[in-house]
Parts: sequence; C-alpha cells; structure tokens
Amino acid sequence: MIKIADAFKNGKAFIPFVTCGDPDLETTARLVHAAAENGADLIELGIPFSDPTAEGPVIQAANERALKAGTTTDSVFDLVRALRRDITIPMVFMTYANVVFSYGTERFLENCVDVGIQGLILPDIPFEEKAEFDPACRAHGLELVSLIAPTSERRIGQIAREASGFVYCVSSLGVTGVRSEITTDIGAMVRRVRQESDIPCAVGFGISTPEQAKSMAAQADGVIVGSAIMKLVAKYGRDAVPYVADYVKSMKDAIR
Amino acid sequence: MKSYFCQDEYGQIAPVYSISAGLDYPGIGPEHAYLHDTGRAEYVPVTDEEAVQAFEYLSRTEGIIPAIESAHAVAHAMKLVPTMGKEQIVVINISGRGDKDCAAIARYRGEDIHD
Repeated sequence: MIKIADAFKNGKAFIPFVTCGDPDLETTARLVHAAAENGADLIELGIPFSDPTAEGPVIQAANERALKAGTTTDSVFDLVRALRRDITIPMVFMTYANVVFSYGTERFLENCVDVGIQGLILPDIPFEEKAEFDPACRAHGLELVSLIAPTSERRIGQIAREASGFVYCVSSLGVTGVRSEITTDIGAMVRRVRQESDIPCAVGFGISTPEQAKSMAAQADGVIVGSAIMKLVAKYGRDAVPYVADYVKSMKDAIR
Repeated sequence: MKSYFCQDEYGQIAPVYSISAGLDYPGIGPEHAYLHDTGRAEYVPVTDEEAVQAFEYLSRTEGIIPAIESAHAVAHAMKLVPTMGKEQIVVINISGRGDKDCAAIARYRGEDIHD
C-alpha cells in the first residue's frame, strides 16, 4: 500500500505540483511520468478551481487554462486512475473546499481511494474548519495535510499535534509564486512542529531555484515547487515535458 | 460557514454580472442563506432593465433616488403591488441613496458620461 510517508524515506523529498489539464490532461499525464522518473518523491495534483484563493498569478492562469480546456473533477479522477497503472510514488490532490463539497464529500473521497490518491491539501480550510473534511478523510484512510504559515505562531503546536501525512510549511506571507528571497525562519517553524510531533515537514510557496531548494531542505524534510513548474508549462505548453523533467532532476539533485 | 453561490455541477463559481456593483458577486451573505433555508424570506430575481426602470420611476414620482441595489426591491414591489388589496401595506427598504449611481444609469441609457 502506497503512503505519503513513503515520500520521506528517500532522503529529502522533492514534491512537484502540477495543475491538471493545463494545457490538457494528456500533457499532465506525461508531466507526472517525467517528474516521477526524474526524482519526484510525491506528486501534488491540482484540481483546477475557478477561485483558487491561495494561488499567485502563475497558478491562477494555469487553473483558468485548465478549466477553459474542459477539465472537470471527473476527468481528473480518470487521469489518476490511468496514472496509477505505473506510478508508484504517493499522489495527493491540492484543490479547494468547494470542489470537494459540491461533488459530495463522501463520493469525492471514495473516488480518491478508488483511483489511488493518498491525501488531500485544501488551502482554504483552516485548522478551525477542518472537521468538515478531516474525520471523513481518516474514515477513508486518506490524509488531510495541514498547512502552517509564518503567522501561525501559537497555533503551530495545536496544528502539528493533529496533523497527518506531512505538515505543509508555507514559506512566506501571501500567495503561491516565485520569490527571489525567503526571509522566514523555516528552521524555527520546523523545530516548533518537532516539539509536538515527528511528522515530516515540507516547505512550499516561493521556491524556484536549486539553491533555494537546498537551503530549505537543510531546514526541513522536503521541498514543494509549483509555480516554477507551471511557468514552464505556460511557456512551452505541450512541449514542456523535457524542460520539466530536467528541472525536477536539478531540484532533486540539489537536495539529495 | 456555508452559503449559496452561482456555480456549475463541479462547484466552479460562475462569472456573474450586475449593473449594481454591490450585487456583482456570485454569492449571498450567510444571513440570507439562513433566512432562505428557514423559509423566513423569499428571494426573487430582478433584471438590470427592471431595476433601472424602478430607479427612474421612484426618482420621478417621489423625488427619492434609490441606490441601484435598492432599486431592485422597488422593481419587485412594482410587480407585487398591483396584485394586492388597497388595505394591505408594503414596506420597501431603501438601503442606500442613488446619487452615486446616476452616472452608471446614464451610461446604461447610452449617455457618454463618467464618474
């Protein structure tokens, strides 16, 4: 059985994010294969949403293109079912509460298990609202990933104690997107989590270069990259696969 | 907390439009969702054209310029009142003033005018 914990058994984890259906689902499938073959330890699959409130301009645009191309929650489930024929690393969905709720939370989670998804990231569900999804995820053997931000402070302990899968450490204030500099003390955030739990911590938001990845990975258990990948997809479209493959390899090599 | 939104079967929020900036939003406040669910209030649609006609009607007949948001209520009252008896009383909440909307109404009527 594949578990999120598998991603953290191979040294520091590299976790790429792709928005499903940008520019089309066939390209997404090739991107996931390329990422897995070049060192990705876990894949975050974005189910596109009309109002992706945690995303910066790059992933917002990816969401818009994916929806315009006709991507639906059901077509993403079909994609994952096909990917699971040969992808053996864990995969999680990153999407928004209304995508899950309006589909019917129970039916959505049943389908996740059926197609081979290990967990869910819902950035618009804060700790205080997670009862809407967390018990249902646990009942299905899925892990709802908790996020902590530089402003979480006293809530970090509370969040860490109840976290499952991994803790998603948001590197900076604001939305996703490439940043030239990350000033948050990630090490301190991770140490605070460690006081409560030995759950893995992965850092995301703003990371794009191998140097940043190396510095973040030295302070945590893994690194998440989305916008830098979707920038390549925006630039090269259906021809982005070799560029993303090279990029994933360079990032995994940097944190090994 | 949940509320009602204009959305498709996959929960994708609809791109919506209204002549009224205050109503140009795909959802409603949770208080209204609750009043709807409990049956305490009934909600009806009003078009841009009906709202503009009501805005002009109340301005001309009473000298009261309703906010374009409130003009939606006036528009529904104009449909409702002819079906009611003379002894029945109607209250319309004019929740804001329409001075702010004059330029938008003029543009809607084809005048080249700006705020």
